[in-house]
Amino acid sequence: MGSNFERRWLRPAVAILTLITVLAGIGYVLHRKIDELLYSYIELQVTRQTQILAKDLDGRVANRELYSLANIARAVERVEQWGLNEASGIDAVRSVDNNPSKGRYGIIDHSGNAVYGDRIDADKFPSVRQAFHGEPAVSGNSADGWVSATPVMKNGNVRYVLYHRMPPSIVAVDFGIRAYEGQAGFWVVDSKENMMVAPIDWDDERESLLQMARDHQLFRALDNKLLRKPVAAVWASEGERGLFLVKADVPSLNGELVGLIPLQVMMATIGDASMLVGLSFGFLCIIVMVGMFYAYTFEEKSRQSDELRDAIADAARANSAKSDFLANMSHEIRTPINAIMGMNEMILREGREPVVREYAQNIESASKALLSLVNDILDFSKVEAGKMDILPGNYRLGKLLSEVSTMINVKAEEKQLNFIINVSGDLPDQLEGDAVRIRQVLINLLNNAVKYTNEGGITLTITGQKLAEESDTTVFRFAVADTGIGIKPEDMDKLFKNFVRLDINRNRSVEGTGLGLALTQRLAQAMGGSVEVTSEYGVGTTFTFVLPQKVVGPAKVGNFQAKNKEAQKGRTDYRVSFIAPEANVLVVDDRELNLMVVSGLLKETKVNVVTANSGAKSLELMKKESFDVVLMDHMMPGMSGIEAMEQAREIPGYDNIPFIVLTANAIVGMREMYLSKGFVEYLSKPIDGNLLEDTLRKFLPPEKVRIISETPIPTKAAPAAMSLDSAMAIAAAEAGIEGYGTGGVIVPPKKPAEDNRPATNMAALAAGGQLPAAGLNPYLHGGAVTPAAATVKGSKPEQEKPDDEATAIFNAERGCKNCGNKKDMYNRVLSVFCDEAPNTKAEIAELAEKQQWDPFTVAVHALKSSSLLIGGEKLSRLAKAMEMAGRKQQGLPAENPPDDPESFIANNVDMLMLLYDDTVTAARKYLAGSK
Amino acid sequence: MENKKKTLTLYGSICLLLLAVVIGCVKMFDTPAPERPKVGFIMRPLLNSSNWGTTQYNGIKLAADQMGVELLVKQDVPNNRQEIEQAIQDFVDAGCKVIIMTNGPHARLGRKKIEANPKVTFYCSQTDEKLPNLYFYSGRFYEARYLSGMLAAMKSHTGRLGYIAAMPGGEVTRAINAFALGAQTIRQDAVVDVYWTKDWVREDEERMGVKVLSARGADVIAHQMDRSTVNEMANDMGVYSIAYHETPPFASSLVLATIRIQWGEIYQEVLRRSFKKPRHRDVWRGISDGSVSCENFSYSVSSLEAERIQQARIAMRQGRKVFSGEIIDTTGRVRCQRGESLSDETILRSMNWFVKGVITNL
Repeated sequence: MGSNFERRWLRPAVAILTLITVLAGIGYVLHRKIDELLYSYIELQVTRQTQILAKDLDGRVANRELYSLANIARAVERVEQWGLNEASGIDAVRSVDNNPSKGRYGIIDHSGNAVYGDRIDADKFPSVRQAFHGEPAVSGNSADGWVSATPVMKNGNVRYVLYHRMPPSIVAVDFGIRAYEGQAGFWVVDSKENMMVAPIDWDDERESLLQMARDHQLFRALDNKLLRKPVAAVWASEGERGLFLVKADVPSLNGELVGLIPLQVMMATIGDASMLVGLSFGFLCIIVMVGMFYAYTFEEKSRQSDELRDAIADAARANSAKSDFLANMSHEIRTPINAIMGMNEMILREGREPVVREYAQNIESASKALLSLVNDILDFSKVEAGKMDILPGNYRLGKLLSEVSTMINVKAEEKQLNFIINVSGDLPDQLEGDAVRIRQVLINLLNNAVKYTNEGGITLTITGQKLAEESDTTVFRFAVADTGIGIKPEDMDKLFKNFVRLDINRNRSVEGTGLGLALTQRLAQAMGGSVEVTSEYGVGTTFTFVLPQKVVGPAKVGNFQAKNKEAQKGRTDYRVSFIAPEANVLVVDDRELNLMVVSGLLKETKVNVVTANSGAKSLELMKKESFDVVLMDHMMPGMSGIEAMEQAREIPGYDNIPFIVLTANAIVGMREMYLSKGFVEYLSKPIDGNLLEDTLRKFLPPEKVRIISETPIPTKAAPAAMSLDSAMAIAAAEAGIEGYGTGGVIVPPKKPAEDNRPATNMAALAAGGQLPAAGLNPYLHGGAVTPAAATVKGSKPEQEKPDDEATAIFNAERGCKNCGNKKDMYNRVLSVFCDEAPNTKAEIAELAEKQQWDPFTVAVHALKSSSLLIGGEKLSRLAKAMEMAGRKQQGLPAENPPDDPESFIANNVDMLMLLYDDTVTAARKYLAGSK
Repeated sequence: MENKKKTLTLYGSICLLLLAVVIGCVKMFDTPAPERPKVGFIMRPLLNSSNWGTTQYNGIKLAADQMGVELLVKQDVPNNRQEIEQAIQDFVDAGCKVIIMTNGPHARLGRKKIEANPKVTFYCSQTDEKLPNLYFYSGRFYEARYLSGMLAAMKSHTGRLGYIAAMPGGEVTRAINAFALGAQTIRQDAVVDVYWTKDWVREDEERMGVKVLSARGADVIAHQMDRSTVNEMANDMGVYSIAYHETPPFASSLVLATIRIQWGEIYQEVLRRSFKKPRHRDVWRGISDGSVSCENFSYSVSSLEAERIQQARIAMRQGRKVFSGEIIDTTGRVRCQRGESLSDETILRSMNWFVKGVITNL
């Protein structure tokens, strides 16, 4: 890539360089040419000017020296001609020769004698000789002066020569040439290069310029030019200095006018023109360079954008191909999934074996997960392909929110997270939009919150603001805040990218493809909204779904909390007081149900609960592990709770371990008895959760107990996902129904804060010796029995309500109410009851036949409670009677026992069975109808 | 790669285009080299036919080269009006600004053409025609003749000098007169016997002339012929002679001297004055200018005699005119008085008389 880059730059660099070189060369040539033209122009001017000077000089010489002299000569000739003597001619001359300052005249004959005036040296002044030839001429030099001579004819022959001799000073004055304001030097030379007239203006500078002329051999060049021309000029320069040398013929002198003009004088400001041109050209070069550079950059850019365009086109094509592929695949993928799910549903409905059903349920949840995954992917591809349809319709915000909250509540329950919805009541309720997609977005965000939160809770806060005063559009903000693991700042950008899941290492255990947020965002955008996120790593995250929706009705959401509360009625304000994750607790009870209850009640405390369903088993466990506390049921077949505890005490390490007895025996004096046996505490069934917690807290090793802060958790926190039976137990407690296997134990309803120890009642009971429970009909009253009443010995309980209420074989309403009006729960409870029926029936029958009164009593006692719970009133009543009979048989206190228990039992077993069947049938029918 | 080549070609062609444009511009503003002026030269004889022609041609060629002008030559142009006019016209058409005619009659014969082309400068040797664009050129042979006359008189015993010439007029007359005058400064009784050959090349006549003249008593014979036949003949006859414009090809002590003309110099001056156009256009260069000389004295000439000639030469240089002082022609008419000298004009155009002492035989 580097060499390519270089290669790309090399080509234009070379081109630019070449162009610059060429331009520079051209510029240089042009500059030279301009100089050339300039100089030849000046040369022309100089020659013309000098020629004028020469002509002027020539004219002056001709006029003054030749013509005028000739006139004098003619005058002399005429004198001669007219026969006057020679003296007359001379006189004529003499008369002219009157101004010595202007020079002297003279007449010479052939011998060289001066007939008048002075002799003239013919060698010095060849004009004399020329005149003797018959030609007037001027000769001389600047040192000796001039002699102009003209022939004086006689009879066509040359008789004399008349001359005019001028001293040098007069020559200089009369014929000296000044030009160019004295800045140039002009002089005159004859044909033999003698200086005839010296330059008027001369200085050292000009002298040196003359030397320069000689150095450059200008004279030779000039003379060459002058071969055929009357005037010519040459020039030379050295740097700044230079000169023009010019010569022009002066015919009358048979000589030349020579001029030396310094370059600056001639150039004046024209020289700047050359520089100006040079600068302009240089500037042009720069512009061209810049232009070329820009052209190249532009070319590069356009090439890049072409490449980019191609790349974009490719990407778009690939993208659309992908979307099309996915869209096509949707049908292909869905079909088999649907088949799987359908077939699995069939197995669920028609399969009988519990193991198989369990497998089928697993398949159902797995395939639901798969389907949801596929739907996500397909939705995503639909959005990508631009085919996601937003189908607006009218919907109610409140209803949507409650649907959403229902779904999320379950999930939050499973992870023991709090979930709160805050909705301001004056938000408009009647909206127009795609409820399905909105629900999808909210559920996705909330699911994410649940997924990535392990402690604390999720809050959904909904606010809204009108888009504008007059607008009918409200902009909603659904803020999902969690106390989850958070998002790192550097991961924020990747949040909405497809298929990216953050913090993989930490979130490995979290399910998901990573499509959710990307799809959610696109859905939000498709509906004209957006998804924003803020987060603090390790603290929590808030996703805000902004959605503008058109309001189509005046209704407001109102008190959502209250409405929702209705739906969620029946949950206690449970608050766990401590947690003890390191604590180990052993719970022993022969009835599985009871074990589940205790486990469920203790779940929030995070105590490690181990169960055993017999005394012997518990001993084995105790030998293997060490427990901090043991909760022991009393009434157990085989080994009783007391026996078990006494034997446990012999296990090493267990002599000091607190044993707490769980029993349904709520007789006065029982507590003391248990305590004397060695139990540290006594809890009566049904077990109150808070009481259980308090008791455990008291007896667990303090170092293992962590008290939870007292600030109330403002959520409608559901208790730990309770098992059905524990829910049943609590529901029963709330309904005021006795627990299991109790006989007259007063159960305090719905008041967890209240510390009501059954002990007080027990004491009262113990004192009284009589169970006031006989007259107590907790079913009807659901209220506490005052101990005062209990202390009356032998007296009948004051409170006695007639026991003549209408009873039904199957009272669904009653049963449902007993389950806190939770239909789903009731149905489940009911179906368990029905499923258990055959086994329970067989058990009771067998026990009755074998006359094992103790377990029999226990069994019918349980049946009494469970049947009443589900609304089998008649069955419950009969079971109760059986229980009383059993108790009498064992010599235990009983309420209205029959006189002959043994035969009562024997006679009513069948009746019991039948009634049981009827109840189950009715229940099943009810179940089938409620589906 | 193709892209690279394409761009290279593009850039290259742009550069070349620019260069061409610039060169074109530069050339456009070039000051044109001045054309060489043309000079026409009309020769009567053929170039190689006679020495006179060769001398002339060499002279003009030398001058033309030095002046840097282009020379166009027409040779063997007879003294025929039509031919001369044609020659002149041809030169004019060829663009000649200067036309030189070597033969005297040429100017007269071509007068019409000369008049018809006032912008063209005409030079003619030994002509006395007067036209505004016609100029005379020649050497002052007469000055050398004067000296040779002196020499001849010094050498002659009889005092009778022979002269062989083609025909009277122009240069011939001047030469004979100067010859006579020079001889008469040595011997007042010197006479010049002239034999006319009628043409410039007449070898038989030339020989005849020598015979005739020497028979008549001439013991020094000068001539003005194209060739040196006379010298040959004289030599054969044992008579002194004086050579003209070329040294005879044989060494002889009988050939006293040679009259020489430096035509190159003369033509140079002719060309210079043609282009420079000074006041005096006529070219008549003589001893003073070194264009004419009487030289190459033979062994026969004693140093004393040579000395005398030398002095006369110096005097001439200093201004002593040949045709000055008292000159009486053959008719006895005084042509020049003491203290006078004949003007060039007179010498050139009005010398149609012979000096006393010349036996004209006309």
